[in-house]
Amino acid sequence: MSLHIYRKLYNRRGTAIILALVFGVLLLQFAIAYSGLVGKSRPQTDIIDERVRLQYLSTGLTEIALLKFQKFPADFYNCWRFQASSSANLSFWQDPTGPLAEFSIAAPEFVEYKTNGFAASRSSFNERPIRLWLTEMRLMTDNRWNVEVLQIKAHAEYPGRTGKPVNIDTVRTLRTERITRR
Amino acid sequence: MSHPTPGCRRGVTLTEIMIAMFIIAISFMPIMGALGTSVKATVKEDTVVRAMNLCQEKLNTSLQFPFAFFVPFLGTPIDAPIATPGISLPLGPETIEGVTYTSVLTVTDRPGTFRVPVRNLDVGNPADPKTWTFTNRNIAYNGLVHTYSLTVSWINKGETEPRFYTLVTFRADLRS
Repeated sequence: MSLHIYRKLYNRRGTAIILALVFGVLLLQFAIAYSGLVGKSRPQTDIIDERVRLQYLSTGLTEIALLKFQKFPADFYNCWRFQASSSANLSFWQDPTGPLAEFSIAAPEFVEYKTNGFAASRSSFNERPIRLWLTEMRLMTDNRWNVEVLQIKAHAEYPGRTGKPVNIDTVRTLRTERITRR
Repeated sequence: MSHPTPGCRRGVTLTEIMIAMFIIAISFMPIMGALGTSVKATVKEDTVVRAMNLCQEKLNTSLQFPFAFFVPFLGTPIDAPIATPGISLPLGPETIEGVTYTSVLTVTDRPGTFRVPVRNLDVGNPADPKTWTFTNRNIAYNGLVHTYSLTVSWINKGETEPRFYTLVTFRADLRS
């Protein structure tokens, strides 16, 4: 065996350093990838917070809408009948004007926090006010049995940390029975 | 001239091993740093999540109380346990895993005004809703809607600044 070939085969000086460098580079890459993942992942608290704060407030708004219906059912039915007969819109309950809207989605009590938001529901890590309003108050009628379903929808949102709005829709559905006096 | 024989391999020297270990140790540092930060954040988030859960749990329980129960407490922060037959709500301080959380419930009346479009009965044909007209009436109410605000506050371990989490909802008197 010539000396040249022999040196190539048996001269292992610096192997450990090279291996360590390769391993080090791999670890660095891993660290960079991990940091990237951690940075991109949304904190668990944010996800829970979004769901909870918005949910409670929008549910609260549907509660007020339900109270209004309970106090003034005849007026609601009158508005409903008028809107159903006069609107060209198939989803007439979404008309932004007219008596039905005045009763529900455009009533001042249901759009009070639509512009400036509700600021009292907050925390030490999230002080952004929540905007909330009523989006729907409709009947799902089965006239044959005078049994109806009233559906109330509320929407709540606030700007997330990235500026993208975080929103939630709460739907409350309940069975009502219309009693007609003859 | 002497040279190593095939049976006598030149391996890694102590210096090489030391340098290699140093390089590996250096490359582990950012990973350990990232892991440390992540663990700290997780521990911190744990206390927040626990506070959120407490807040939800207590607010849900408070909503199970009869609407009239809170009338004598309106506007006064409640920071001591309350109970009614079948339901009890522990408020005030409680320590969980070394962190003291203080829960305070405040129920306030939320007076307001309902806008009600009222049909003008003397106008239009009763059988033809298209001919109906409406006049808006504003009807004020109070004592029918309460605002429930539950705040849980705590201080993280190793910090002095208090943290808090507040949940708010509205509840209407739907009995009648």
